[in-house]
Amino acid sequence: MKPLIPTRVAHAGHDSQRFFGRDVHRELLGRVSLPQTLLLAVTGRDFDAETAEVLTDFTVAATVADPRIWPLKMSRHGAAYGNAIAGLSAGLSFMAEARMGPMAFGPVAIRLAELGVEASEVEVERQVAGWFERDAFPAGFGVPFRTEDERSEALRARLETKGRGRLPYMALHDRVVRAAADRSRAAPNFTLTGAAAILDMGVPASAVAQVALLGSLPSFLANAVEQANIWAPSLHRLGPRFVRDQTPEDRVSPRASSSHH
Amino acid sequence: MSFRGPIEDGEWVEAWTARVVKPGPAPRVRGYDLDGDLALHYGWSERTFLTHRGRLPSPEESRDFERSLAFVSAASVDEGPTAAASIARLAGARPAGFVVSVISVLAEEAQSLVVEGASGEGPLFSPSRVKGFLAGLSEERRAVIEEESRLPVAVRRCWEALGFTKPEAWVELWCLSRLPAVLAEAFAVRPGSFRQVPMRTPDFEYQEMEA
Repeated sequence: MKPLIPTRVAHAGHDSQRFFGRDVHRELLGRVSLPQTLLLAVTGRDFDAETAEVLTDFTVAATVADPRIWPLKMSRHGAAYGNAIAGLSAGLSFMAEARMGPMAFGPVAIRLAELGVEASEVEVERQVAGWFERDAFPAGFGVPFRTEDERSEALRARLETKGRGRLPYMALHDRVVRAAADRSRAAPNFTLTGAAAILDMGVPASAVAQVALLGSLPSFLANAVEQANIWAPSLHRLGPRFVRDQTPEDRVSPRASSSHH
Repeated sequence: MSFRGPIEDGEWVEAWTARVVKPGPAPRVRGYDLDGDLALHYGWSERTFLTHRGRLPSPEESRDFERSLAFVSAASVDEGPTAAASIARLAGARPAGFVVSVISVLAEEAQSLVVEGASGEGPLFSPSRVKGFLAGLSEERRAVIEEESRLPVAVRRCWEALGFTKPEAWVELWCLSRLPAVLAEAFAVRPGSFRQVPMRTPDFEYQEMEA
């Protein structure tokens, strides 16, 4: 029997393109926004326009696209020979399970979901203490090279103006931040605030990293597209002036030695 | 307008650190002259061993390493990476895009089968092939590979016994050994020959969700 893989994503028909149970041209086209389409793609679920706009806010707040930031520099290297797709691919490929970048939102979301919005103050404090005991930089905390994560502040403020600042996971976020306040390295980073905001949209914890990935695309795309159009030899080769040589001393192999005799 | 931020305010090293290849007009790998020494006297797998381990392999290590790379080097067209390569070729992808997409599938295969030790079917999971692989290994390496029916895991243990202890190196070795067979099979596909490449093998069955 031929192998058959079930899919709920799509079917290409003669007169109907199906996508997660909807007719693309008759039910979706003209009725859903880009964030709604992307969220449907990632979760297979409908999001109302207002909720889906949180993805827009998240994406804009997340756009810190300085090409010197290491994940984005990966995109620069990938695109340095003229191919933007290679740049996007290089930047995104190495993000899987990395401690920085969009995939870092996944463990934070799962941690918040496991803790649960109904958790008591005692439980929140006990769990947060455990995170800091087990890990010098627990997921969701730590802001490199600065004291506060400006993305968290910006998204938090934006959510407040839209009346989403007191939703269950943002409230849990605030309780977690308070419980961690007296510890060193306790500054919450964008993964904590972003994960809470995405969970409050109704996105399952298991899909939060993929939604965060969507939010990172402008930063990666901008760098990949620009670099593909700039010929920058310094991304191909810097030259010895920029290398500290710690290679072994010069030596001759046993076979070369014996061939000389 | 001048722009300042944490990157301008921070202190950063200016130079990269070379630990393996000495940069310059005559590259040296781990101290050995590439053009005048290694290229003349050592084969690909020996140079790969040197590059990672920092020393040349003994004859016995070299035989075992070569054997480990050989046993996983065949990936036929019914295996995921080769099928993916054939699709990329069919679509007429430019060479760099074609190869990089194939490597990403191979690397994921390595992560699953070698690093995480997933089980499966086919020649990589034939106990008789594992037996054959072990039979040709030196006693030293054979002794540290316990009874194992999965060839990817047996090969990984051989690599570990040879000093390749990092998962990143296992993924790399897996990709390097299998890439030629995967690409050669795909090169045989003519770009645009859509009737020659299966559309429905494997097939997908669409299951409608309730809107």
